[in-house]
Amino acid sequence: MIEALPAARKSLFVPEPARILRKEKLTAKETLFEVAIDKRSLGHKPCQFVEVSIAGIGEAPISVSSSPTSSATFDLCVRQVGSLTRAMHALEPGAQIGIRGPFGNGFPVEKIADKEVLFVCGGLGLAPLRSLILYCLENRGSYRRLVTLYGAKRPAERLYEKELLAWRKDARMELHETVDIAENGWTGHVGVITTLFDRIEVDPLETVAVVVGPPVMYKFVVLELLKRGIMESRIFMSLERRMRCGLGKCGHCQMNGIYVCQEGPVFCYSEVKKVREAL
Amino acid sequence: MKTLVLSKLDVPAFVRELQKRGKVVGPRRKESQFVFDEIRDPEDLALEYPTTILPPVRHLFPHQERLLHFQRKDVAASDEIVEGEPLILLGVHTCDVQGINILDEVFSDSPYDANYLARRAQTKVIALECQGPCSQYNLCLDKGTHRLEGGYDLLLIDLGDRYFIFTRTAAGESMVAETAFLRPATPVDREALGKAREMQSASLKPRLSGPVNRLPSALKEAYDDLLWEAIGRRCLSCETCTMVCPTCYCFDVDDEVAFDLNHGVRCRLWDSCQSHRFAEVAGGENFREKASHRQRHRLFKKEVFQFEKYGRSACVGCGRCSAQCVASIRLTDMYNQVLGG
Repeated sequence: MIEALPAARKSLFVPEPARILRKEKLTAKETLFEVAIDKRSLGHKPCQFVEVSIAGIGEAPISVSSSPTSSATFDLCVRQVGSLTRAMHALEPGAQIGIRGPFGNGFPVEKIADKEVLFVCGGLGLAPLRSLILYCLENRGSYRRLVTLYGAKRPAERLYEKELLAWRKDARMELHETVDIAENGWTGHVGVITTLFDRIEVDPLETVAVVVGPPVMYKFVVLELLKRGIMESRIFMSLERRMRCGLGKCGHCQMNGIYVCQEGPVFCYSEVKKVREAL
Repeated sequence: MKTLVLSKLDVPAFVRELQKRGKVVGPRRKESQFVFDEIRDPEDLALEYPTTILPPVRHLFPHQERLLHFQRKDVAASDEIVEGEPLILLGVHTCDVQGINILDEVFSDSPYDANYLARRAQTKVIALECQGPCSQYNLCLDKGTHRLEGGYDLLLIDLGDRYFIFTRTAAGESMVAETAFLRPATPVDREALGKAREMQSASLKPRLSGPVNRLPSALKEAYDDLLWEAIGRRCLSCETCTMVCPTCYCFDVDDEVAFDLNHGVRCRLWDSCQSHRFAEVAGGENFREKASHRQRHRLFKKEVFQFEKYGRSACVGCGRCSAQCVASIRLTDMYNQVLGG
């Protein structure tokens, strides 16, 4: 029983008006939208998400794909998968959408300062992780080394293809890519993401790993990281769920007792290794 | 705190007094069962009821609730809808008062829920102690919810031909301040109160085979038990258990567009962790694919997760989920299995 009820306040369900400024098709299913809220900048942290709203269709949680420091606008990488994302794909630059957020804890960037940072991402996991990768590239001096491992199912499903090409040439970061199924003249590495670990040297005492990918990927990647001697407290992951309200109430994103929209989506492996339904 | 007495003959007059202060919602008959509904005619009030189909807290967290108006062409024209009206919940059993206390805590926890709080701020609660068990499934004695520590404005106890009344809050005192038919309680009334409570205690039986405070740890130990498989095989995922629960609050959000296709309302609707797709994510993975996982989640949310977060159980022992389960899944059976015995 609570002592006293708080006074009634403003509803947290009302979205703010925002505009799509730019639209870029990334793959057959994924499109990048550059968005700006009309009256303010988003002010997000890496790996946070927003609720995108289209009146008459509904809302969907979408992770922010751009660095917090880059500009007043922000990027959303959206896969066409449900009614909201299909409707969003039909929108053109200039169109209005609604935004609530940012939500979630975001990435604790202080935990990776002065470290060797190993990003491990699979599929759409690059969308949220790009916000952190770009942030680290912008603050390159704060990190000893940046390594990105990226796995996609097929070459045609690789996100941010142009950026990957630039990163490949960028001396500030090592990039290793793989695909599960080699097609369309792919000459690179073939195999699941864990097969990329043989291509890199990892200093277990200096490395912090950040893992984002489809649910099935986590346990295999974590196992690989632990085998290489990386401490549990230095393995971070974003465990996104269906974050319906963003306010820790609706229950859809619950992972046992944890409301991912409030306490996550970024977790340290040592925190969640015993949480059932997490990995 | 004041103590007063209301003759049962004066209950209709009392209801009419309350109606001057707001919408009175109380128990009334609906075919062979009882529901919490608006009482317009005081004769409809049925204070001597076992339990209601849905708990009264559903008037604070309605099945469908409007969150905002929208204009499809302009997000800036979105307008919040936060509704509420002076409401008096009359004759609320103590377990259901505890249900309201729990949702008060959940919805005022950061980030707050403006819609619930706006309704709650205008609501007064008149609690009623039960005289005995309402069904074979109530766990109020085990849960300690047959008595209350707070959460009400007035508390009624049935003394046969009259009600003993405790006031708890200033709002409660104002409800009984100017009513001629209420009289201060006398030593005779107090003695009758003591007897009524003794009889209540004697008629309520513990149903759990072990101490209730062992439930969180016992359930955690039983996470991988075959019990859940067995329950899952019987569960039809019909969601009744969560719909009738006084402390379930999961919801979904849905847009309703008007016929002119230009405007509409965004609503929230009760949702249930028992529905097959509740924990499904965009990629198609389902984190609680089996009915056994979902039933386990329901019990853990009541007894483990909320215990860890708020230091209390979220099961008030009303017995509705057991009584209304079409597959005869009984909370008591599950609790007793994990408690042993």
